[in-house]
Amino acid sequence: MPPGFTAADFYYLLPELTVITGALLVLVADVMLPRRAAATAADSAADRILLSLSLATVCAAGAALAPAVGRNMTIAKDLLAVDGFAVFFKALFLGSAAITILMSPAYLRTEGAPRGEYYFLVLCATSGMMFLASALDLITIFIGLETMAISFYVLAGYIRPSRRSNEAAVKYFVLGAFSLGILLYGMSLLYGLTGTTQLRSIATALAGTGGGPMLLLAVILLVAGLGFKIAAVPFHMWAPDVYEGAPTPITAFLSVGSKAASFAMLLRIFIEGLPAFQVEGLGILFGRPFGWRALFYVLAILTMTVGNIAALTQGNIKRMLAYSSVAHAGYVLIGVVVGLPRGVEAALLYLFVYAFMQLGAFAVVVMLRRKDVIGDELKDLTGLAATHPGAAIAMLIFMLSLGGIPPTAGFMGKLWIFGSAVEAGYIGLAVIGVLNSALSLYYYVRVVVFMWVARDETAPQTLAISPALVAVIVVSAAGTLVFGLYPGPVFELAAASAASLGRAAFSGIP
Amino acid sequence: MAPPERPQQDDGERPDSDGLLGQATEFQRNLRSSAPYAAASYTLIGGIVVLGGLGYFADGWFDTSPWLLLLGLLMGILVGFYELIRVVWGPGR
Repeated sequence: MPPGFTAADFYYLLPELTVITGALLVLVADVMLPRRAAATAADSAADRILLSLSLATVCAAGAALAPAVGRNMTIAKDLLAVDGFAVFFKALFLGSAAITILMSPAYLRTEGAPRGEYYFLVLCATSGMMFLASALDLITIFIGLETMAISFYVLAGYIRPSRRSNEAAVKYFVLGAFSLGILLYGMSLLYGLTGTTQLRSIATALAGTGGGPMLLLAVILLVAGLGFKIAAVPFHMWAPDVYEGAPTPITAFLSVGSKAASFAMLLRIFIEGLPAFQVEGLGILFGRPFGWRALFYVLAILTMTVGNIAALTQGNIKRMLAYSSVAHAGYVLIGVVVGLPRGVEAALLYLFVYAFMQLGAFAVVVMLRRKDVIGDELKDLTGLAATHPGAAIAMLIFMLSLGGIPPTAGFMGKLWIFGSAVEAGYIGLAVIGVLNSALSLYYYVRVVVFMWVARDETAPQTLAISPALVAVIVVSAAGTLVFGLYPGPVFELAAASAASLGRAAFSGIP
Repeated sequence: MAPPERPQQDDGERPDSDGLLGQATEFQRNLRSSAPYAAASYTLIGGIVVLGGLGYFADGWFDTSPWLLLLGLLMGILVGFYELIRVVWGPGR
């Protein structure tokens, strides 16, 4: 055993190790299996083998996660945490990765894109996310973040013949690199101020000090860098173009996995690392001492409003879903503002149900992609209810859930978030949130209208329906309905996970 | 085989939308064009709330709970969706 490592470290790192090993195995298998030829039997067998390998990896990693449930400890010399918060997010990432992998095969075949590297990159991104969820040290956070980000840069541009896809990758990469630089600068200032990169040590070092201009600068830079990753306004400019250009399963994974991972990182850094941040001399803002909460307060309002307004006029489903996902990040930011314990609980719950609805909605969009039609315009949805009633009903459920209409899971998530805001006294935020939810109904119901009411004279649609895609849609729809009607287990899960965050941190939260 | 390409979507790449002022103008234009859609949304919610509220109070007067409330909600949903579908399907397509 190399010095500094213990057996316990490897034991609790098994999920990440499994994912990485599986990724490498998939890459090797892709090289050894026959190259893509025109739809031969051997080719689709190769497809199935790679698919099963990736899924097996994800399932194995999920199983390896079991020992970590219920623990609250750190491994690897306080670099990584093994607590309910980390387990919650890792399970979320593995689930989203599994669903993304299931969504992809037919899409990749239609696009003619190589598969092995795709699954490899998806698994690499998942491993980066998993490190991000449990990281307690700024450098470890950055490593996880970079792993995830680089995998996504490549995945966004995966469809090489498509100009859209290349544009998406370049935009994402350039903006991502700049914002990561800003984030790193903020982290380095934090290190300079406290002499340590471990979040809990930072909290201890900053305790009792009043902050100061350097800390304020560091926090602003951190918020800017993190704001890019969660696509908060005004750092959201990349989202519509990247979401539109990237292959649809990757858009789905990006909007769910990357966003959840970025929120995990945000919550870790701010609640574990800077729990009592206050800046002297800036006085009182919104009736409470000025702290990083105020920054997120403004960000939440801007994000919700601009995201919803911009989505109203979009004619492309993927762009619309991009702006809508910006708006949803705004709702989760309300939970971040409210803080421990209710707000974080609500944010976790919301991210959980959001995963189901978002993945399901994108799965239906994946279905629309065919040989000669890109299929991500609203008009490509016309008449879906007549030709594929099942998919139309599923899309109806997803749209209602995204809009926050009972009895879906989205309604429960919004109820919990706005409820926690009202409980904590942030009435303004809750009111703005509700107004924005009402506003968002238009573009969600518009999708439903196009599916049911619109009549199109073009030829009947033959959609690429693979059993895996059907499974994805069914699972997502079921999850959305079940958690809307019976949200108890998710409440408890989110509460338990939120409770384990910041256990060692201060309770002096402003 | 390259997938079919669409013409570049014109989302802010107009000659007069450079810089901060251009972005602000763009946002303003976006806001203005989104007005009928926002109106449709709030009509839906407003209809449901108002007609449901009317039904609720009528219930109180006529002691026919909860039927008038349900009727009010239903009317609100119908009216709201009618307006919404009209906006979606009409000139605001």
